[in-house]
Amino acid sequence: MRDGIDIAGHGFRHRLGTYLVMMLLVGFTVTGYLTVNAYWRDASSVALGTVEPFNFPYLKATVLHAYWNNPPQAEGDVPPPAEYIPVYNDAELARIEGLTNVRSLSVALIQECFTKYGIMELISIEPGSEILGTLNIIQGRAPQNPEEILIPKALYEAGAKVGASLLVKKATMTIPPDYPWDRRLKAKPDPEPVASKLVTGVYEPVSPMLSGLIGYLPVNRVDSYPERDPQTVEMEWPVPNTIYIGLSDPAKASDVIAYWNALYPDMPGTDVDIISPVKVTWTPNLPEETMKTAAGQVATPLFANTMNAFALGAIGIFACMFISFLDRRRELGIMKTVGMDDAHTAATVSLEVVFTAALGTVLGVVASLVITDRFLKGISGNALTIPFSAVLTGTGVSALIIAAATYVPRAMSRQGTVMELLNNRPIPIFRKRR
Amino acid sequence: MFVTLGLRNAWRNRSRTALGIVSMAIAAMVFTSSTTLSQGYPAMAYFEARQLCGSDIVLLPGKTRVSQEDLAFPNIKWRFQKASLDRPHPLLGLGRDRFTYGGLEGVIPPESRVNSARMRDVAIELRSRPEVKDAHVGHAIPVIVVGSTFAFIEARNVTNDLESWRMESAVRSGRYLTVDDSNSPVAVVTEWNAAPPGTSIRLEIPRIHVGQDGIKYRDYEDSRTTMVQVVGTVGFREGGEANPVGQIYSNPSIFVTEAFFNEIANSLGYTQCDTAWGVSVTLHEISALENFVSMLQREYPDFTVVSVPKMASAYSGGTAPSGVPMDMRKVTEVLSFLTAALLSATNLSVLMLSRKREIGILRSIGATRWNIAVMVITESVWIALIGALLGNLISQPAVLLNYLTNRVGADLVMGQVWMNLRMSAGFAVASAVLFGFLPLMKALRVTPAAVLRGE
Repeated sequence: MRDGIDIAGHGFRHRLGTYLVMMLLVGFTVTGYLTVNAYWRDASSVALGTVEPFNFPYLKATVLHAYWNNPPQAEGDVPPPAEYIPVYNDAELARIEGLTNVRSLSVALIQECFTKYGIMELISIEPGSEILGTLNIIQGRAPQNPEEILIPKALYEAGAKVGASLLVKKATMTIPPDYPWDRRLKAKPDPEPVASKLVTGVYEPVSPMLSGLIGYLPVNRVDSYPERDPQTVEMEWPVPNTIYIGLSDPAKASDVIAYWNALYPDMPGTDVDIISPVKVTWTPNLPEETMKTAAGQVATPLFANTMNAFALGAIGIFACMFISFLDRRRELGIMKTVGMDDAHTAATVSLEVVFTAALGTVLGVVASLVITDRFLKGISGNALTIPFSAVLTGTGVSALIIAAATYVPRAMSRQGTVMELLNNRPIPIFRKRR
Repeated sequence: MFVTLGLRNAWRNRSRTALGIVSMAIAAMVFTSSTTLSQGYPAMAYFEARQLCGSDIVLLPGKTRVSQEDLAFPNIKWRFQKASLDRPHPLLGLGRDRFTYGGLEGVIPPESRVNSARMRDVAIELRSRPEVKDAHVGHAIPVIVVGSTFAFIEARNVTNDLESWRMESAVRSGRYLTVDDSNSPVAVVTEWNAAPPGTSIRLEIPRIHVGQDGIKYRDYEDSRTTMVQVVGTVGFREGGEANPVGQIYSNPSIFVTEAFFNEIANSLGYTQCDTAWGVSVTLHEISALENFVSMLQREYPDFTVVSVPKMASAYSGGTAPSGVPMDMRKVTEVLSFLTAALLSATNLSVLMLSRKREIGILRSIGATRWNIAVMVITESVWIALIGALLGNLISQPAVLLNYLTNRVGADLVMGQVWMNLRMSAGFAVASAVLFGFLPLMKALRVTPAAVLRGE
């Protein structure tokens, strides 16, 4: 082993230029990774610090027309969907409610409406729904029939009174001409597009997910649907379009979405803009997630370039190692002639690389510490910090890259026979063992 | 002689030379594309979307997209909420999810909020810039059409629409507005509304009412009914009406003349502040549109600056607009040239090893180290130069299309072509010389004695 170290040391000194390039490549990639990592962490912390949380432990799903389908398209563009499953019947809703981590299920109809106080949502909720009990009512009471509504505090402050009437003009859906949508799905129109609603109380919204006028909805549930490939799928008004799923553990909302997707494998989410849209992605941590994505967009190009840098480093290290190997194959052949075994030969080559990589990594870490401390500032305006975990990850990744990049020269020095090495004959990377 | 020898060597090892040339060509293509193409678009790119919006760039008050600058501005609180249909703008049709489902909206402190006076000042400031053809404050009012369908009436600058946006090409039936329409109660509707020309539509226009909290609300209980005669319908299909598979850009909007719009607004007691939605900017040409947008994003942090082509691209299923004005082009360019140079260096190093004997013989018959250096560097530079020229040739047509369609002037086009050639050739030669240094050192270490000894 001692001999191997001596030979490696000699080799290192002899090819100092090549190893210096290799060391710089490792240092460059490690510096790049650590700097980008610190920058992204800073952007992410700023982003999450400025976003307002929902504080709403529900998963909200929009399901227009009450029927799942897979997925709706412009009529005639694609074959009819395989099947329509009525969701708003007791059995189907019970299946959703039975999912793990689901605490409760509330059904609602959300409509855009024009009022004295601008355009807002009228959220009509099924009586007895759990979500009604969570409303922070500060005056009056919850609605008890379809003619009554609860108003948000902002409207009360603007002049709306409990006991007074509020005219609500419900907007019919305006569909852009290019929207692909399933024309088989039909809902009978609202028989009362303009209605005068009695204000029965005031509540303080806790989340923008439940912040409009709160109404009362006698849900028209479906017992069964006999046809599975109908020409038209029509339902009596009122047709619900929203489900609020109360979560036992809001942090695990994504699990519920996964269960939901497994329950209805045909339908959830499509890439095309569609009517009816199926949105089951409104989770309790949506603002944070959205902001994280936005912050990620700041750093994504940087990460892409870091990956390029890693690839560049790998190519460079491979090139250096390969040239070094070609340059010294005669030397390695002589060593093997005088009795050095294959493992020791490969170890000698590896030792040089390990030494270079270790030096390069240290150089990279030191350089990144200096750069982030002296020359760079994060988006927050504060100096960037490099956590120890990032240093470990960077070291691990560079070790992996070096292992991959040196595989071929190492294998060749190990596999090469004395004759192949001395006479410049081709050396196979894989040799069939006899 | 050694220059010729270098060129002959390059020719003798054609496969390795080709590899080097290809890598350099790719680097040059990346360079030319990222410095020239990513700045802007050919003149007709997303023309229909720009027609619909009547502008190339839209400056919306407040923050609807997170940018790097916004993250550095801690006074903005981001809240997930739906954009209000009470404040519609022409991008509604291109970014409708925000109005339908919601998105992150930046809540700006009251003292930094944009009002109509600020919009007007910005429009005046922008008009004074040489790149800007027109900049004006856009106005719109939401209305209920006939039953309870949502739409908004938009004041259109008819002269600008006809001259800059050739709006007559978007007419599907009837005619477009003319300057003579002036105060007449006539309108052109988008396909969204589908009212045929000759019919009259009833618009319920809300009055403004000040709540007890001092906030202005659009009062749809107290609306005024106005009859408007439809004189034409307009459609905005990508590639024109003849393209059946083109994306349709649409808005539930009703175009009226500025004079008629002002008459409605005044009669209902609307102030400029109540109807202004943002600043609409038209450039003379869009060959460097995204560069200009990035500049505006930095100069006007109280606005969300959006390039209409970028919005249209996202709407058509292209890359979603990140809204992050981070210019990583230089990093990419340097990286691509480094990769190419490294490949060339590896190629040359391998060549040097296989040519050890030849170099030794050359040295033994009197070639100096300088001669050998000239030979190696000539080969390296030759490969790099051909690669750079090839890469330039491949990407130049797209660059020329971008510039020539925008009629930016022959001198600018030639200047750009010359700059691309100069820069990519310069980078290629520099990296070839720099990275040819390692193989050169190897070649210079070869001595005649070592070669004759068979080392």
